[in-house]
Amino acid sequence: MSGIDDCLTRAMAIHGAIGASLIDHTTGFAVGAVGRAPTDDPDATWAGTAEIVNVAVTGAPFASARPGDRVEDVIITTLDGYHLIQQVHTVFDSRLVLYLWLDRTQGNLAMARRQLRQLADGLSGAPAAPAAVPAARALAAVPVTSAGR
Amino acid sequence: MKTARTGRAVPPRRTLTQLAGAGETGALYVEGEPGGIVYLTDGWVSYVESPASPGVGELLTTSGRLPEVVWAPALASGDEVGPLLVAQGHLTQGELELCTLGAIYDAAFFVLSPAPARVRFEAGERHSVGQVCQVDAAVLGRELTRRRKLLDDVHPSSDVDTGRLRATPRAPTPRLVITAPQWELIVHCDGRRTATDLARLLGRAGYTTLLELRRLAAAGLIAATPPEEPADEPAGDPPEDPSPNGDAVGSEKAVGRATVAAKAGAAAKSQTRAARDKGNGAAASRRSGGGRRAVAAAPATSGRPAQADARLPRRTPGEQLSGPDPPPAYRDELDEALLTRIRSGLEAL
Repeated sequence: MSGIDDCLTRAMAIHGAIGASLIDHTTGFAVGAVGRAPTDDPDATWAGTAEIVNVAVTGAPFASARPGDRVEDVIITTLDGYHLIQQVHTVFDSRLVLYLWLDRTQGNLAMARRQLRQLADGLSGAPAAPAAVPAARALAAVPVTSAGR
Repeated sequence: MKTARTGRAVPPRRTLTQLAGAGETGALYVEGEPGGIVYLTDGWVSYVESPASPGVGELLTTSGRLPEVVWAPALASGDEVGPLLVAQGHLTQGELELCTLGAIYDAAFFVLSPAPARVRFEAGERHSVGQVCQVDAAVLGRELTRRRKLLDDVHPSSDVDTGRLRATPRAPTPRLVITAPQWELIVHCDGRRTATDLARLLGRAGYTTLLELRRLAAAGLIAATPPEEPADEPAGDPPEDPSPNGDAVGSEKAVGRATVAAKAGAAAKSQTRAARDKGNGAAASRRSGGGRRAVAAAPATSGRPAQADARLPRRTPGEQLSGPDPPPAYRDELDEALLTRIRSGLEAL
């Protein structure tokens, strides 16, 4: 339904949004961007975002709680704001994330996260993600593994 | 109207900048290795295609997003394919834009390489994908420079970009962390495919494939051989294919024949049929031997002669094996050993 520009405009309409962009996380290139970027150099922001995603996806153990698990988003909280990074899962090969910078006092993290997820799904044409139940199961599995070690 | 600029080689990016500055509409053909076409609309880049990277159609069909039966008619309709597919409800606008934009940047990386190339411009020509998005030529150029640098930062040697790739039989470290895209690449590095082959085979973007391959090369997991010697290229498939098929069919017939022979004792008949089936003297004589044995053993269990008969046709392809077929065997062995090693490595985590 929504194109890239439409998606970013709607991301900026999320309460407390300061800046939003769609970033290719293999190259750190912003396919589209609106609003402000946290630093003076937007390119550096995007490259940095890509790096964070790659670390989360490839290096760290977060993605392997159960088979088929994957990183859905990364949230970084600073004293001043929230940085939400949502993966956009397309069926064809593309490696994109939707990035939203949210004001900490005005923004509502939970709401913004949900809305951003919906935008990402709308962009990729994905049906509503079957996230809720498997996520709960993954959480339930965590104490078992930590007890095992 | 035609603007011929085939005379001498120029950096294609410079030509593109001039055309974009003049607000041209048309197709810029870039020759060379791998070459490609840049489509401009009013000075904006609207599509780029290159043999080295999958286009929109390949990305969508290889990934299974669109079945071929949807894509092909849309392409044949002569309309702008992208908007048409969206209008028909096969794709969302977001998907179309993401896919097209990805394909543009990806192909541009190969078409607009810094090396001088012969170029020509065909004014007015448009791409069948249609008007989906517009990219500023200057932005595109900057991004390509950045991407090139990124590749060299990962692994400074460009061997893997063009060479035939194989997985190194022994991993350089006892423990490895491999991502899903990397795994996919390693498994398909069979000593014959190049980076371009892999990208097209897997429906992955050409640039990201290069990037992953360079990462793997830097980690010592794959190695490249220079792209010459096409010697063992065409050997692989033809002998391999008919043999299992013929085998199965042959053994089925053999079972039927053995029982017929046992009942009627018509060995001669089965012999001629065998000869006709196979059209091969050696096979016929072997087969008839089995047939005779089947007759001799007729009062005993019918399973055994059938089995003996079933085993026989396999010898026929055996003769072909002495011919041109070693590469697949090597490939299988390599893959299996590698897969086992990677699996045990992963288990150790």
